[in-house]
Amino acid sequence: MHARTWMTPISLGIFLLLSIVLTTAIGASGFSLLDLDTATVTMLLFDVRLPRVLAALLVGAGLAVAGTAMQGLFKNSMADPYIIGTSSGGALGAALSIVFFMGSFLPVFAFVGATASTVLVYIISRRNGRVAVETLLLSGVAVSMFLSAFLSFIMYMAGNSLHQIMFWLMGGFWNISWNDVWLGLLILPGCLVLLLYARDLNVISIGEEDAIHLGVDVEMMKIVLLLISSFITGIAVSVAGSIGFIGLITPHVMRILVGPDHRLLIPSAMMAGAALLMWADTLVRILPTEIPVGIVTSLFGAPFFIYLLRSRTRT
Amino acid sequence: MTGIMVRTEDLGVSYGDTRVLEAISIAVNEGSFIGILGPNGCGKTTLLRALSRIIDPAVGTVTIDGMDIAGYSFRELATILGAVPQETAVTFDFTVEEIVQMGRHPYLGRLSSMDEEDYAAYRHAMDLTNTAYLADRLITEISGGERQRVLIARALAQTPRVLLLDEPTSHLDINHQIEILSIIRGLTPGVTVISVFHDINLAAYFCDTIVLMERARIAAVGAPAAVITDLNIRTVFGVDMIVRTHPLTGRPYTVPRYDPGPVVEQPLQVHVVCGGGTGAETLYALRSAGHEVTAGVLSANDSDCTTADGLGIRVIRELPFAPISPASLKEYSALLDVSDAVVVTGMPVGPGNIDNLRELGNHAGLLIFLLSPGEAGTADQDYTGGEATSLFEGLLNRGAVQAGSVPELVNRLATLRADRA
Repeated sequence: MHARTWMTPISLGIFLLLSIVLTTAIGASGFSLLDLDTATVTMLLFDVRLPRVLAALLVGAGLAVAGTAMQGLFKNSMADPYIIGTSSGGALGAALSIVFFMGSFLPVFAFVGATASTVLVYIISRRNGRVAVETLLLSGVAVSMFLSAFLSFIMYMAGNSLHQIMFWLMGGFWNISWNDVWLGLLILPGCLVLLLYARDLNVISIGEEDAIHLGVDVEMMKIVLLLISSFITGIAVSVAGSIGFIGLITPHVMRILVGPDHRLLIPSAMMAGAALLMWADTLVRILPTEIPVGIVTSLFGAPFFIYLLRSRTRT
Repeated sequence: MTGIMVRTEDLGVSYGDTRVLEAISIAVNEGSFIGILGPNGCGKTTLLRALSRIIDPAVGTVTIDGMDIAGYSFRELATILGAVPQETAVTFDFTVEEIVQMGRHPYLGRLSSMDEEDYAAYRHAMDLTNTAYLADRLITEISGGERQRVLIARALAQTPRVLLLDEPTSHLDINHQIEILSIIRGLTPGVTVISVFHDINLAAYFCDTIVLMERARIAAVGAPAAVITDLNIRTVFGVDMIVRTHPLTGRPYTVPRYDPGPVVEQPLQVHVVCGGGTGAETLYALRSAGHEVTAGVLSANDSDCTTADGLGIRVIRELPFAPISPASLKEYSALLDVSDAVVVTGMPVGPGNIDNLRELGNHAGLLIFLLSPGEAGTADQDYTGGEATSLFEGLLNRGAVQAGSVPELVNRLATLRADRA
């Protein structure tokens, strides 16, 4: 049985606040903070580490919430925020920016790429004013492949920029400024809107026809869910690149812990995703050589995904 | 005064280029119970889907409570109309209580939570459907029948004025079928019920009106007795059914005819002496085994006579309540002369049919089987003051064979036929 109370999200909230302090304090600058003068410490903590921690928090929260919404909409706990082409669209946008504009306006390019590909997938799937989620899923795969072909071509021709594109593709927070945090703050209202639709998400996760019977304008809901999710994901991708598995695993684990009610699930996933990505990024920071955080999340995420697959097929 | 609650006018629905509903015009009185019957793929479910706005009509209109269905918001419609789908595959682990609470969704604002009225409505729905004890169980872990009752509870939690059901009892045991349909029947006339049925007899019993559908169209509409007829069932379902009047309810009920198949080559000629319903199983089994079967002498109002007629078996019959006439006895005697075997069931014997037994004694060398589980011609079936019992004993003494069951009898006759060949 699930412990269907607010205990889990409240505990997660406390853990998250502690994590902000702890992850900001932990670092790899090689010095003990006490040895440095106050000005340097202040600079290190508030201009280097804190924005990085907060960006990881926002991106982690956003990806987890968008993943929760996608899993609810697709009635499938194997769905993630990138399932309808968001990440490949964002990646293509970022690659275009890197190759042709030397990386300027990269977040804008990534955001436009991510949301444009979602809109494209939606338009392709729409027929007689209705969108079948199965078609949406398949169109997402097809558009992703199509965009990936362009991305591969650009990478092949990229020359010196290849390393930069690769680093971006794997996702990370190595070069975060306060500006990225301000941009990332847009994720919060997105999450709030999805939280307002939590009960509709519950109903739609039972089945579309059931949802219509229960008074949900399902086609309208799909537009809202896709639009908000791809907005959140687009922002997340433009801040930190396409970081994998956070949006897949967090909702799944939280559903096991708090149950499928999105009124509890969304806030729980939001805080868990935030904490998870903050700690993953901290791990990356203290490694001898800094690597993209996406490598860490995938390294731990992929085996977990396989575990989920196997435990699902057993039942 | 009741008005029309649900009306369709010239309703047509297409899936792609295929027209799955054609010219459907029905008017459902407020508070009535309508059953939709028809073979698989005739458009029953599609009609329900059009009524609940899952699919839009290609032509025509659906009107609920006097207003075109397209004029309602989804939320408004869900407060008037509840629907129970045939099958719901829930992926996520909601509890039964959470599922039933979803029935209150159309009444709740985005920021509001359930008030006393909402709690009362969903709890009443759970009590009605006997699902309260399942409240904390997971919807993914209960049986199909329990899930069906939970979905009915969810629809009732909507406190609808119209309830649509798609084969609401298809996963239930017969006791639960009747229980659930009685509950639904009890909702009328407060609620107008439109339900697709799989079982003709349940529809005939519970519904006020039957809509019989065939290939996207309405084949017949009316009271159960007017719609459920041999002819309609044969035309629409393509199967021969026996339609009778239920002895307790007066409603029509149907049973399959089960054609016994043709008579085989070189059949045995078997005559069956029976009565009072003791011959039905024997007559059917012998005809199915391919024998040429005759029966009699039987009273024309005997149920064995009805069985024989239904199976196309030749019967020597007498007028109801009349003793066996000399003409019938002569016909019977002639038939015994050409029969390869005679079967006598453990029938009740009285003054009216005792001549059937007496006549057997006049045919020496006749192969006679006495079919009875125990003693042939037991006293409690003897209404002749002992004569029947002594006649049975006489037959046994002269070589009549006792068969304990119908299958045993069929086997013995099969052996006999094999020996002949």
